[in-house]
Amino acid sequence: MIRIKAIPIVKGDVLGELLISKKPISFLYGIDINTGRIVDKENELYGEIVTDKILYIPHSKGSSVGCYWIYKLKKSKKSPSCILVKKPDEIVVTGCIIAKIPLFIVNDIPIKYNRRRAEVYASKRCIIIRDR
Amino acid sequence: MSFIYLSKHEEKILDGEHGEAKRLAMEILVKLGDINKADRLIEIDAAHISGISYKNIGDAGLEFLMDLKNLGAKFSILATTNPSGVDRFNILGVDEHFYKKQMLILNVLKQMGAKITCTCTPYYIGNLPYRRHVAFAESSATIFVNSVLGAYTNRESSISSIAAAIIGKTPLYGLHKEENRKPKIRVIVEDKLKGYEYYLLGYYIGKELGEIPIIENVYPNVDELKYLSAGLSVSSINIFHVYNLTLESKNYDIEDLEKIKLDRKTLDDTVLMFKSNDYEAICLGCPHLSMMEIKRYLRMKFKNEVLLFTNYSFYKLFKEDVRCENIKLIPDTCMVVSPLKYKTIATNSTKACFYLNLQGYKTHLINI
Repeated sequence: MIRIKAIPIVKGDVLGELLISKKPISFLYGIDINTGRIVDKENELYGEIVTDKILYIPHSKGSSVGCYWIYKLKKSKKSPSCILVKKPDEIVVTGCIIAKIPLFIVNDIPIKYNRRRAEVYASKRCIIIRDR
Repeated sequence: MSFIYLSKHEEKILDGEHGEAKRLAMEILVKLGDINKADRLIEIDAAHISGISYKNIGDAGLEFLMDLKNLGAKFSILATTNPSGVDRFNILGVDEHFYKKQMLILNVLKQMGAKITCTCTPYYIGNLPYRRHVAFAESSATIFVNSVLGAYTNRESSISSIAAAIIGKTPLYGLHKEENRKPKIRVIVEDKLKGYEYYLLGYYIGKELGEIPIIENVYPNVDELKYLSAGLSVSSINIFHVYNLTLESKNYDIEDLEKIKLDRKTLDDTVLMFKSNDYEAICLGCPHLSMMEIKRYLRMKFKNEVLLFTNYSFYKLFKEDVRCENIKLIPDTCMVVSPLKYKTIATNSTKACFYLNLQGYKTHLINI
């Protein structure tokens, strides 16, 4: 079992599968609203579905409208269940506040944990990844 | 747990004593301040709000804005708006449903006190924050005002720009502080660049270098500085310096910074990313065209259909000068935020290419 420190910005406890990107993502048009699929070709998770996943990105990039895009993903029920960021920027933070998607600051998650089940706890300020 | 110092008045706003809209706006500012270790809020002169187009924010965004207005949201400072999804005359010919929804969005923002400018270059028409603290959303405008006008703004999101416009303040962090505006890398350009090559330069620096640059051996004019801002805008860089030109470029000791040399060949490789062989229309004005650009394009002859996007004031100035049938001058909107009927589009803007490609359009980058 491994514990990783996670500082909550928008609180919530979440269980789910980790999806880890080492590159930033543009939320505006970078994720398809109707399918939850990543369509930003500059991101290494191109083609993956974010819906109900715990999405780790270093930070966002691109348009300031990205925050509405996070909100729209939530309204269409295609949003990640939780977002983890290394550097919380204005777009992700305000998007998650209005969409009420749990958001945490996490320093780094090794890529080897991609697709592993994880538990994220606001009260314990940590992520737990159990042995398989 | 809060690090940020709030005055008694600010605390009361946060406690909801001044209504729910102000409370939510204050919560957003305080959260951003906390995360970024701001020690207080500072007053700002103006805001620029993005997320105006119905195409981008949809019914969800419209509902959010209506809810906010119904909670009593009012802007307390000058707040200009980004382009809308359609021009006021519907020259673009969008369907009635889209047009109605778009007008609802503009109306809600107007009721909250926004100045409905519908442009991504508010600095052409009066929101000109020379050396002032502001809260600008719209990535290319943020970069332009920081770099060229010496304004102080972070790259606000649509929502944080609204929050800042309601309260009239923003947390003191990031590019509001001198120490975060320093260049981190020297970019030495070996060939003489001109016109649209500044888009390529910005795009390349943003994608490949990712650090605040001080660019040497270039002599951009105001339009070219705008292209550079737009090129950088798809990255997460929010300021650049041009050696011996931009306001702050002489403030820094750059001797010890890492140096990167760039030539035209490297930049041209970027163009290859945006190549589709034919195109139905040429779209220009990402960011919105200046008066000089409009004059230049109106003098040119084109084989294809050409759409020129600018703000309403410049549209009024030049609409009588459009003499070719295949050229349309369009105010208030642009190719990125409107529902275009073409599938393949040529443009000089790497920013437009980036977002149009994500939306499934084919784009062709041209030097024009």
